[in-house]
Amino acid sequence: MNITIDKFIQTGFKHSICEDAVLTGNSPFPYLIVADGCSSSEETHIGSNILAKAAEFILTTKINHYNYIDSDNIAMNMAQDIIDRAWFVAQHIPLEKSALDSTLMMSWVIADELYYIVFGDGIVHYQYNNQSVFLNHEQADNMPDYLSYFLDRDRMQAYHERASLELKDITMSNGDICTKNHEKHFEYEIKKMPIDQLKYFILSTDGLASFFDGSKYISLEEIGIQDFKKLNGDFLERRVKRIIKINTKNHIFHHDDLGMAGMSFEPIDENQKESNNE
Amino acid sequence: MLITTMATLSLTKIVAKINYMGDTNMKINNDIMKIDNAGSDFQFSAIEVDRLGSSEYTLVTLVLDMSSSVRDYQSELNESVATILDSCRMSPFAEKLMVRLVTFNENVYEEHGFMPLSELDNADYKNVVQPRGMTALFDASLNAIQATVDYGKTLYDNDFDSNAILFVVTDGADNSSSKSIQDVGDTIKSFNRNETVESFRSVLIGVNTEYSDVNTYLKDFKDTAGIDQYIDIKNANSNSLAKMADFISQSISAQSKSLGSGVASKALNF
Repeated sequence: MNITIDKFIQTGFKHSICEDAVLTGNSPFPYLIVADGCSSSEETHIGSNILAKAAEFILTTKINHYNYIDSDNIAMNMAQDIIDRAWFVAQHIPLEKSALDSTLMMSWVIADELYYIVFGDGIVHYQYNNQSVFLNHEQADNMPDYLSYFLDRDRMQAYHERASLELKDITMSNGDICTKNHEKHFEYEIKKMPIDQLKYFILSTDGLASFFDGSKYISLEEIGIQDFKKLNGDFLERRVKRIIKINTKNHIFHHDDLGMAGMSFEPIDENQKESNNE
Repeated sequence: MLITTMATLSLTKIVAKINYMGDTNMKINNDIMKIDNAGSDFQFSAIEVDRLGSSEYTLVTLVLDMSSSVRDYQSELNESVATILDSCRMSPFAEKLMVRLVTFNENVYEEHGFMPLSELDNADYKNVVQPRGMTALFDASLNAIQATVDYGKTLYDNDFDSNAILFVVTDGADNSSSKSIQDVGDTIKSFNRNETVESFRSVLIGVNTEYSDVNTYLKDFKDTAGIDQYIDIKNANSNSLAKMADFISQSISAQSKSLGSGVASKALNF
């Protein structure tokens, strides 16, 4: 399988500094990392990048080891390792713990499986078996369960007291909408899918849902992110820049930062396999 | 009837030249697409969109006169192409440049279609200008503009952004085209109205104009057709053509910097 990786990041029209962070790579395996710093906390433009880099380190050096450690709790082990490492870096700058108030989304491909995990909120979009799917992980009261709360018991306590218990996973597929509520915070889960039927897979911060026409937000399915013309090279950057251009002409702007990363998948044909073997 | 025959000949020549270049030095076949211009009588080639990595490109076209009158400075003209490409390779925007090279006498030849700079080899340009014949200035200009429009649209339809810049280098008046100044002007006007290519700059360069009336003629061509800028090089020699090469590469750099701004770069002084 040929995998193309691309990313895109742009400051929201309402922001003076971008609080999203995006990292991608292909060693030791293809991976995507997207983080969205909280606008209400100080210096999260730095914190989101530190969190993303910490996640990159943990993912690329430890993920294969998690299989040997309490396989029921890989997600929580990963979460703890990431935030501990991020705080180890941040405190030496120094930054407040709240600078790490950031969502985090990660995806990686090992063998023929794609894995992903969402800490906080964000949007997952992919085309699988010719079906276009949008998964919008969102908190009903816009208070995501940040990993940074693990650093401070008081903050964790306050979060439990204030945050709604309503988490939503909204799935949109070909016009059908399905909402699944969670009842527990910090319920992280690594999900997976085989890549043989995947055409592309995108992680995005919730900025993708922030295109506003003056009276309403444009729905994810209407934005046009799924209308890729080609999936080679800078496929994600091309599509998103075109979306922004068209919407800007219509005076529709994304208020929030846009941080996105994606992979496209192209099966290797028989001729290419033979020439590779030669 | 005569015009049709000449136009058919032009088509044959372009196709023949493409095949020749393909045999000697260009990666072709799967990587290059040949595009027929609907409603016109020429085709051009360009790298397949599937081969492109970036999200935006500046389309550069160099159109070089190779009528018999350029014989005295043939080697300097050939060298200038390599000089232009070398300068472009130093640009921070080098990865976003695509270059098409056209030569003309009474026929119009596509030496190569739109190709990323990284795919071009200076060795291919050592003898690209082979002077002989008359001057189909309007046909060559029109070919260049129309190919840019068409390929720009192909890129746009595939989510690529682009802008374009065109240089036509000539030492003589048209005496052989099937198209007119009006045709060139209409195409430029129509190009400036389309939205598929972000901006377009056109530069006409007259060389060796000191001892002929061609300077006035070319200024008139520039004004009537709506070409953006006219540069007059009175004497064609190694210094002046080196300066021309520098001007061209600086202009290309300026236009590629302006990609994404929505407007064309400002004209540079020669």
